[in-house]
Amino acid sequence: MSTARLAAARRYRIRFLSAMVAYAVTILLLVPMAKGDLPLWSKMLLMLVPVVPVLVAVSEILRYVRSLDELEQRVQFEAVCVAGVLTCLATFAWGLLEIAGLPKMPVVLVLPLFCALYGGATAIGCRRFR
Amino acid sequence: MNNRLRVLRAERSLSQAELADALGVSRQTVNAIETGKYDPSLPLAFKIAQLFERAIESIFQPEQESLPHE
Repeated sequence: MSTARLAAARRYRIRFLSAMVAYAVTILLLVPMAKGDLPLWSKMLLMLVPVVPVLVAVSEILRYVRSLDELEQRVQFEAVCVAGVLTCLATFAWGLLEIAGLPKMPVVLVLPLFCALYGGATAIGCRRFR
Repeated sequence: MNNRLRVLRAERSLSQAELADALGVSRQTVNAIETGKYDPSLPLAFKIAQLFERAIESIFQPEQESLPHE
């Protein structure tokens, strides 16, 4: 791998991990506070804070994907498509099953579901071209 | 699409990693092109042709069945 590509990959790993650590810390700190005795508007404001590090992580993913070559970008694109479609299908099917009596799925699980599917689809895509 | 990339690379005694560096792509991409798993974009095909100082059609040839019938 060229020096520039190595540097981009390293920068991505550091910034993405930092954003994820920031996300975990804000969740751990703010969830107990939001469950406390505070006005509704301040609770809502507190629970939007973890969205900021997630936005940073998304921007880092975008920057990293733009630094990839055309085949790697194709793998990422297909992985996002597969993950998006499967997430929509899974949540849609769950929604239908809720009518039949299944417990409600917390909406907060949609992003982790998408991320897990995106990771799996990327791994499969990489193996296809190995 | 068929290609002669592996042969041309061997003629110049280049490793996949060295060729990848020269083209600004990953080694996996060079390997995927050589094994026919991935057809490069036109800009990348031109870059490869320039690097080996050959015409694109002397490196990349379409599969026989994909050619239009006369």
